[in-house]
Amino acid sequence: MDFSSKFSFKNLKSGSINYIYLLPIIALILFIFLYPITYGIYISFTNFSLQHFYTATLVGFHNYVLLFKNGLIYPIILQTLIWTVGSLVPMVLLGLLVANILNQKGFKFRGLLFTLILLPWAFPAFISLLIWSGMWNTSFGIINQFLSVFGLPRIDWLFKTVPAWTALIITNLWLSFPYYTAFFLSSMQSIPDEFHEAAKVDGANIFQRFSKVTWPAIKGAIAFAGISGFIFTWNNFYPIYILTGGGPGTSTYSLTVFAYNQAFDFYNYSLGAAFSVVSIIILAVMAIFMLKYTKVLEMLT
Amino acid sequence: MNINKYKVFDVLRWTISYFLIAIVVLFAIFPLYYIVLTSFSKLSSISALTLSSLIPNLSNMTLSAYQYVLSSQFALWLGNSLLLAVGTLAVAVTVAFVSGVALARLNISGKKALIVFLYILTFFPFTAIVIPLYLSFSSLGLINNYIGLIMIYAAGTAIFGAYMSKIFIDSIPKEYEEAAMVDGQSRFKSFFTILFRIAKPVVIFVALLAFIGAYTDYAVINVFVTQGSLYTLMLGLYHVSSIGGGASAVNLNVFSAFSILMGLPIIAFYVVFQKYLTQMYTMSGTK
Repeated sequence: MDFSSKFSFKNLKSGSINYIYLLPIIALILFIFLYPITYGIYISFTNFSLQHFYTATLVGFHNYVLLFKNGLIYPIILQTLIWTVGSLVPMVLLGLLVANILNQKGFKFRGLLFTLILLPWAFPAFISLLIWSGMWNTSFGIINQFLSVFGLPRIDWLFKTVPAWTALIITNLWLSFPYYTAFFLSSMQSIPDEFHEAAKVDGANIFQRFSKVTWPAIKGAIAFAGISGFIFTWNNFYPIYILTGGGPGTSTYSLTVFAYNQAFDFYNYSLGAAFSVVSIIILAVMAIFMLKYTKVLEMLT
Repeated sequence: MNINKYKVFDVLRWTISYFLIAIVVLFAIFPLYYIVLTSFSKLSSISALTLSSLIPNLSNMTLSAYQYVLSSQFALWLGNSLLLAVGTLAVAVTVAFVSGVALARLNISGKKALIVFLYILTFFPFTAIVIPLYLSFSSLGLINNYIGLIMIYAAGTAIFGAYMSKIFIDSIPKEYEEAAMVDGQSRFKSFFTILFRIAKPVVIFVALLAFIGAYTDYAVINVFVTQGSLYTLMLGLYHVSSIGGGASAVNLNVFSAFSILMGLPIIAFYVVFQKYLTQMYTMSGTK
């Protein structure tokens, strides 16, 4: 009996018949990913727009020349980097700080405070963003009301470049720092207490204990969270789309938001497609470097 | 002397710790408190939204914003949103789980390459997919069609979910299925039902991602649906509080009440499945 069950188990585990289980996902990948991406690359070489909806023709590198030769894309690439790095660094730092504070031995009300900190995360991001867009509003937003209590002038948060970036990054920090806190806290809690105790006995102060005990143990977690967070933030569409819509002017556009606007607000489908292609190439190159350098991929497989 | 120094340092450390955490907690909960408060506010004019209105005052509270929202086409939009979200959830969970099991447990050549490929697919910005899909859907007459939308929503979640399921199932000892097979269950049954039961956290996590993805999507449906009877809550929210680009003072209470009503199904989902979700969120690397 034991033999027969083992036999059937082995049977299940070999043979190309197993591809059947992967057919649904392969079909989805083909139709919803690979086909559109290929078609998108093709579109980026055409003049597909509202006027040429049924008469689009190949125009070679015209769209790419427009992006690079006219310099249209350089500021947008720079802005995407500001958006990604500018969001990610405070998120990781605040996450690390809060996780370290909560991780102290003997910290009271940890459970309750941690749950409260997780709330922004439990709330649907899209709705939170709409709330924030009301809070940043120049004339009635609560943030300017706060400023006026301290006798400070109202700030045109979403309509001036530097305040707009500040608003975007603070909002994004609010959306994401709970995730980093939870992620770092869970990896810190896997460090045995004895390690900290031993370091204490050896006379290590709080900073030395962080650098010698905590840091080596969570380095891998930070690398993984950093890379996933970089890719996620690079492509994160809604914060910019809802808060500033890329404005004032084009000063807070990221590649993804610009591509969407080109396609669906200006009906310039081919230019939008070209933007997406460039975004994928830049992101892929950076991701490959980061993955190689940190060996995160080996952790996954 | 030395002990005293330590004590002073300890008091200082705890004071700073709790002070910082207090600020962080305020930062975290303030926007949510603010929206609940505005949803009950009586006056929707600019002057009503001052700092003093941050303190709840029963005599100034009203349900009029909620009444306004419920007298709109809220029920129709809710029905449409739930239809899309549940459809997406069903497709995404099934595909993600079956693929996850296959990738974790079955002998398939080229599996490693496929896993890396799945991971790389999660890099793509959604515009890279939505622009070309919109063009082919509109030439095929598939605009205003929920099935196409469900496939788009499900694909993203299913790929991410397959990869999450794979990682999760890897951590389950194989003895579970083997024991079940010894007990005489059929191969298919033991393989999928046993793993499905143990892998509940990941299944619920994928379900939630799928649900929220479809339920709160604006960018895709805004393009793929033009017909009013197919509007979802997200499109309705824009319609009712006419926010296009940001909430305005005139309708902030309506917008707030709408957001809260809209958020209820998601919050219910969180509350019911919270214990599974905290575990999964930290594994996943999203949001």
